[in-house]
Amino acid sequence: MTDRDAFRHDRSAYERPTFRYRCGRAAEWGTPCPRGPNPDGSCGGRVGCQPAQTGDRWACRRPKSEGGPCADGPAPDGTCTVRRPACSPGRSMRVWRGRTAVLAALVVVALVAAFNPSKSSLFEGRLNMADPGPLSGAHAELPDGKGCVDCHRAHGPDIAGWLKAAAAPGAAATGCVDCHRFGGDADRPHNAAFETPGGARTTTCVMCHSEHNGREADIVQVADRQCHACHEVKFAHFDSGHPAFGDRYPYLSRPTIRFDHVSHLKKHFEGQMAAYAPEGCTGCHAVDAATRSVPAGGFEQICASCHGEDIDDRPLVVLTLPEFEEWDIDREALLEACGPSLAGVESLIDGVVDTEELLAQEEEYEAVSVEELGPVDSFLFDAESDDPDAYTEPYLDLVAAMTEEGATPLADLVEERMGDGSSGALLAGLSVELARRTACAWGWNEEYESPDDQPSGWFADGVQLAYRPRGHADPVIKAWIDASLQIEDGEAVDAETLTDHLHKADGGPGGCFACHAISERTAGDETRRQVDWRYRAEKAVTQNHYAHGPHLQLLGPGSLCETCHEMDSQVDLAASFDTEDPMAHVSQFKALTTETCQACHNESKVRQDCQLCHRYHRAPHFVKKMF
Amino acid sequence: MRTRSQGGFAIWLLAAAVFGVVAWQETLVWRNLGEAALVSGYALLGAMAFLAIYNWRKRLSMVPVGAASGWFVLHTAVGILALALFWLHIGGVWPQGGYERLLTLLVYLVTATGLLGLLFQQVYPRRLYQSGFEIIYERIPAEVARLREAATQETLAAAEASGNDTLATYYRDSLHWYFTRPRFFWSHALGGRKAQHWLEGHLASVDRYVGDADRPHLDRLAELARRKTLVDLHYACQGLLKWWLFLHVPLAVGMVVLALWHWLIVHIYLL
Repeated sequence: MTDRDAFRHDRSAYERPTFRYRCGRAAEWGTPCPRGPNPDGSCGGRVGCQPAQTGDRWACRRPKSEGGPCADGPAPDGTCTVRRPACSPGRSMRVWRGRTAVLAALVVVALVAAFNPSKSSLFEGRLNMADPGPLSGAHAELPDGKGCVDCHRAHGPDIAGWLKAAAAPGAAATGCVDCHRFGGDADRPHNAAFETPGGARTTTCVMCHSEHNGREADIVQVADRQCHACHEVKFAHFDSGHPAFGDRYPYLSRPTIRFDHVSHLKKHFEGQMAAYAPEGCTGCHAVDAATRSVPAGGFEQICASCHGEDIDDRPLVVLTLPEFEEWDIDREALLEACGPSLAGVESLIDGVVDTEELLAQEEEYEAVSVEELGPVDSFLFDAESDDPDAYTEPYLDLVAAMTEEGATPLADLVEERMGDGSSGALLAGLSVELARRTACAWGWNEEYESPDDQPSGWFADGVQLAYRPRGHADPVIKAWIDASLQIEDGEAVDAETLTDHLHKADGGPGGCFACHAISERTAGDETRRQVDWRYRAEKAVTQNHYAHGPHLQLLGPGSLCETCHEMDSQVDLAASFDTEDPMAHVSQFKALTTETCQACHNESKVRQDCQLCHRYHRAPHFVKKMF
Repeated sequence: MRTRSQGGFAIWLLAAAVFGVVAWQETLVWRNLGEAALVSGYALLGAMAFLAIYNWRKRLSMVPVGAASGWFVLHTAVGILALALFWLHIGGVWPQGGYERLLTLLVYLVTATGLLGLLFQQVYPRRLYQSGFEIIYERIPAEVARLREAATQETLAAAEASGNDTLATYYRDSLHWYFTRPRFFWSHALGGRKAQHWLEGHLASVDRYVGDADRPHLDRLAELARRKTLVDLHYACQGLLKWWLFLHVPLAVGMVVLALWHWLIVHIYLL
């Protein structure tokens, strides 16, 4: 069927599909010129050939495929005598394809130019050639309202800076910290919440948070496997390979209150007291306020009914009239300030003596008190309690001054010994009159007889000036105890006696240390001793998260506490409070194990991803401009 | 043939392996909190560059860089690999961003036109071979003109020989239209036989009016017309084998330009 000879070299022209032009006649389905268009696009078929000159003669060069040399041959001037009207060559298919490709490229470039990021009015529109997608819901309305530049520093009208940013790494995420702040460096692992190994990588927000994935996108969730990018201990899931919690988890430090769960739950409320027993754990712990911890109710709510009187019965004795070596006091000044003593008044009334005789009487000193200095005044006078030589003169000077100025001299002494500005809290509520009357009685070497029986607050009785707590959390008692923590060892002769007295667990003023304890805590480079006055939840490690709430409600409030918190009745709670190191303790509850959690948090039951319990950021918060 | 088939299988296997390596590497980078999309992104850019080389390979046919058939299989396999890498890169099949959607649309159109070309490559060469006729595409206009001229001469010869204008009238009313240019393009492209039916119907309709003197001329006209049908078949099939590139190449160029823009945007805003 195919006439292969038809395309023989001497019967057909050589086709050049890569030429830029094609014959115009062929384009109109006519017979194409044998030679086709010229390279410049002009018609190449207007003449039959280009005659060649040999000597003074012209020879036809029409190829065989076109019939060979023509009969007429070239004209004398060397032009071909075969003439045809010129056609209009068209572009070849290859050229048109190339042009279409260039056009497509130009269309894209035009789109980019028309809707480029520097044109803010268009940039915020839907046709945006730099828009990688909608922001998540949380970022949909950025506070600055400037659009992309809110987060991307590179974005702006300066095209040079914009292009320069392409070669400058780290341009991303620089805007995140304009709104988001943390409890540590934003570019350190976990915001430097804890020490990281040397050479730990610098982190960026976009490592975990990928934006522009749509309004509904969850940009917070991180896959478990990504946590293992840094963590050396690698495991597939919580229920398969998670490191053990530790021997004391979650009871890493001793509780702030010396509350013996074992004795209260298993001993004190037995027998006749059973009717007063709390309803299990929830009898004391406020389930409604459960978060990471389930705080117990206050003292008045859960302790006072049994232990309220333990506080009132333990007054703080500030001054104790001791036995002196000699009674060297200015009687005239005493008489002027206080009037006569009770015995003197009786002598005057009976007419036995007059005033001058009363003052002139040289009675032999017989101490009304046989006491030694108490722990407080021993410290205040910087004297051994059984060393009258050391305390007699300053004590009598104080008494004499108090007869004239009331509590002021005592306040001055307290300020001197306990620190400037301390007397306001330490002697709060001490009336001038009580101080002066007590001093007057003691000045006349008599016991002070109180006209009334004060149930609480400052009072004097016989040879003591003391303070009786006004209930739980009494500010004066707390002030004395807090002030005692500021006393350096060896600062005073009897400093240790004072602190031992104030910090005594059994019988100390207010009985505070029956429940509270002193803890030595380190914050940064500073180590401080402080009394754990208030309930303090287990130190919150920001990376760990736990919510009691959902667990408490599983089978009703409080129904499952012992599933996790199993008591160990063999533990001596008191031993944990013999030291000021809160970490050196043994809990009355057995440590929680991973197996306990894995019973529910496993592949087939409840979610077990890392972020359920662990938070990456340390103390995340917003800057003020957000609001 | 067996060796070529094995070679083609090896290329597809290699493409699958490359995808596996890129996917695994991307997973590793993702686990390591790196920009995982960069892995597939640059792999995709490399694949696009390789695909573009195919066009240059055809232009530089004098350079001995392997058989064209091998390059064709490579181009096809890398094209499919590029689509897989693209899905890996965007983590789905349709992105969120405006210009990214345009880029995705271009990727899909380029892939679709590429698959269309692949379909043409599978169907039309076979059909052309089965026609038993060969002609270079660029020579079709000349062949159409030659056939038209031959048919005209045959008609004139018939009129002179028989002295009547039966064939001449018939040619003027029917076959002249047919010989003017290629006809029944889409019928030929879609494998239909509309041209044959049209031609045979017209030939049959004139056959009863042709005398003995005209019959040899009619037979000759029929032969020329049937040859023209084959030329038309070649015009349609070879044309589509060339014209589909008018979609594929410009779309690919537009896609590459937009991909470069995407590369620039990523380096400005993300890295």
